[in-house]
Amino acid sequence: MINRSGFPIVAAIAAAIAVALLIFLFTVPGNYLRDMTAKLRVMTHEAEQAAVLGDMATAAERLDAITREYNSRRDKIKMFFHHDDLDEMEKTLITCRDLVAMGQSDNLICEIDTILGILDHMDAVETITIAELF
Amino acid sequence: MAMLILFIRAIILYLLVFMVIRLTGKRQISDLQPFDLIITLLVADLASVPASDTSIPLLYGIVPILALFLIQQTMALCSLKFEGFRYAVCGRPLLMVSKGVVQEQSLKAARYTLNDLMEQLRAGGNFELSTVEYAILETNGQLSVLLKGPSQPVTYEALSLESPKAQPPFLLVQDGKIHKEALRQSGYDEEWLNSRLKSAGIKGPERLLFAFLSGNTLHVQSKEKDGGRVAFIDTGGKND
Repeated sequence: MINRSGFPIVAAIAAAIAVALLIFLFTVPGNYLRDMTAKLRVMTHEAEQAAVLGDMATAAERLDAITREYNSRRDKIKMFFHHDDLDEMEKTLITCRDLVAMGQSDNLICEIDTILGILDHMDAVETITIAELF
Repeated sequence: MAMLILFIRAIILYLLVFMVIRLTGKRQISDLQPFDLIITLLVADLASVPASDTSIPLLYGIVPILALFLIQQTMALCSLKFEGFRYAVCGRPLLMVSKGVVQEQSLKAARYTLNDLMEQLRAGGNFELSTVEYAILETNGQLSVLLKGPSQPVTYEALSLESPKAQPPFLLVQDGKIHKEALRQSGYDEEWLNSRLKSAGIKGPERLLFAFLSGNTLHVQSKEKDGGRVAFIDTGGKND
């Protein structure tokens, strides 16, 4: 009696699926994240400029836009980014809105710099360097 | 809901680890080559971290596991295709005992003491080193032993006796269900099986825990609720 096993074919198909999935994960999430950070960085700089000039209304408007953009992408980003970093972003945005409401432009600038730092960190995570590897 | 999320994540990772381990094609730890063993150990550890921490994306566990799976498949394929690669990765079998003489160099190379060698021999049922002609330490760590002539089991051929037909046993019934393919391969049908069971006072295969056909003997055991009775039914061969 000969048992013909489909196991080698199954293993080969599984390997092919794994390769395809990994190629997808190596490219798509990174591009999505970089697209998000690029947009948010532009908006954050605009909010920072407004805060520096003391224009709290514009700063508030920019921060609302940042929040909307971030919230629209949050669920997807959560699938491939550490949640602690995302939670920090959300907390910082809430703090910024509070500072706008209180009219504290100096503190607002500091918090906006924190947002820029988080965005830089997100970009750094997606960059392959020897330092990142180790 | 956090508990439910943890529960579901653990199931997803378990299924992934199960598929990866299953696809390595090995069933026992003793069959594993070194690179297989590494993969097995690492995969389990990689799965446990995101399973218990919901702040870590599931993909942080899935991607390394997939990477290890691909490494394992690649190394298995290269070991199959390239002899040099296989020797580099898996090593070569070591001749520990040759013509009854313990090879000290092999013991040193394998970092084996004589106690280790004796332990392996005893585990294989060989208590006397003097009966061993050859002993080879395989790459998976098992010791294969060839006994000296006088110590080898006697065969039908050596005694010039007619040997019984070499035939694997067929599991015809398991937990009340007939294995149709095994029944077909044994050369019998359900009618034959039912008639044999009836001759032994068993109402039907659904009452059986198992039924093995070995040669001309049907070894059956009924389920506990039906008495748990064991019977050896002489089938008398195909002409009956």
